[in-house]
Amino acid sequence: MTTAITNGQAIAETPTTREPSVWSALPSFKKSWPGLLAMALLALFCGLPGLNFPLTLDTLLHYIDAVLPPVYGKGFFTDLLHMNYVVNCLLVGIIVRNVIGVPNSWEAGLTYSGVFMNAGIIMLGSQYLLSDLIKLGWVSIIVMFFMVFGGALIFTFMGRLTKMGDSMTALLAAGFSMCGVSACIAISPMVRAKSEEVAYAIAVSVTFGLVCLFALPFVGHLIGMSNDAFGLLSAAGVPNSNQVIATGFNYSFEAGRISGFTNIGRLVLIPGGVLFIYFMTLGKEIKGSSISFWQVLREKFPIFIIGFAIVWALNCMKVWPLPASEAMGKVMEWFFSLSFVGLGLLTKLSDLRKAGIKGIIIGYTAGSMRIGLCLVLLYIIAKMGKIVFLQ
Amino acid sequence: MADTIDTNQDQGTEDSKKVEATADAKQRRHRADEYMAMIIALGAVVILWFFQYLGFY
Repeated sequence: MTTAITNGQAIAETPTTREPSVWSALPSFKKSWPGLLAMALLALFCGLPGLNFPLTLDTLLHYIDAVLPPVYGKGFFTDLLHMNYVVNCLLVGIIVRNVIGVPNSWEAGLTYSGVFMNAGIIMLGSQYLLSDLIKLGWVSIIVMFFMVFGGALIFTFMGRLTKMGDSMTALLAAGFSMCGVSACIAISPMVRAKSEEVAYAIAVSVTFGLVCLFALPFVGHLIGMSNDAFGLLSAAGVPNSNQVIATGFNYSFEAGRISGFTNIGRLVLIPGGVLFIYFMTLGKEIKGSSISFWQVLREKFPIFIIGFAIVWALNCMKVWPLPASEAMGKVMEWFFSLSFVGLGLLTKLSDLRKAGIKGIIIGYTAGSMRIGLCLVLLYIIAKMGKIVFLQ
Repeated sequence: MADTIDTNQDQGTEDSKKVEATADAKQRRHRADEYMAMIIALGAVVILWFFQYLGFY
């Protein structure tokens, strides 16, 4: 409210609309600390990489594998089930949320898991050199370009085939082709989606990503995919960014590194992808619309990528020597561990019910088609000699 | 009949306003998360770099 004062008297009070500060969107530390502490303690219990803390789930699983007779000559938990810090963090989080339950006081702190994921991605820059860009840069851009725009086409086709409705088609296309939850919410006002449609599309993409997180590494190990190919597959096939990184690191450190790098390409394509999906699904209605490319670019461009670029550029210039780079790699894994615990604690298995049978069939079929398309694309690229498909 | 159509339109407008408000709030939170992540990550990089400079490892 503003008050105009003339001759010592207030004569009018006119309301003014002020844009709320970006920082006001973050919950306060007072509200968040229980959730943040819970994430840190659970991550520590699961086994933080590089920290020799003995009382962890990781140590326990290694001990059980050493005591039990080997299965097919391998340790059951660590070698066959590939239970590493990623799976441990996620499973512990999911079990705590869905079996024991999460107190309300944790909820605000758990929303910071996205911050830790972004911080981890920025620090991932310290693990790349210029040679990585030369080796995988163009391949990852081509794969992501095909998967973002090709995926949107698949979903548009499926949506028209099943008469799903334009807004629902756009939501699912955005959720699966770009970065899941954020993309669904970003496109929702543009396509005039109903709130229940947004919740439905989010539930389908999140549960599909969850299935991918555990199933894709299993399939990858079965086929014997190389780290490069699996990293590209997880970045292109898994809907949510958090789940992309988790799927990559669930396979191997190198695959996680590649998936994080490739995911940057997808994040850069978000503004273009949002507009593409908007025009594909509501093409007939756009004549009178006021959607501006620059406005979408300004609002949807992921600016934390600038942080990644700074760290990566400093690493390429060898500003810091190897020990510091290794320490940054460990801190990066700690950020990811916190984020994976948070991701697990935010995963509600009841969302599977919310997604419903029709959503699961349409979303999962189209999502699987995208993964199939990506495998074909990677195979073609491997045949051209640009990447190695099998180990 | 006309009343029912009016009520449905009102509900539709109300719902799209709700969706828009949710998207705005989410967009602001997303940006705040990004700024926060940049502060944390770049801060961590500077600290680790400084530790190396001091000869901790």
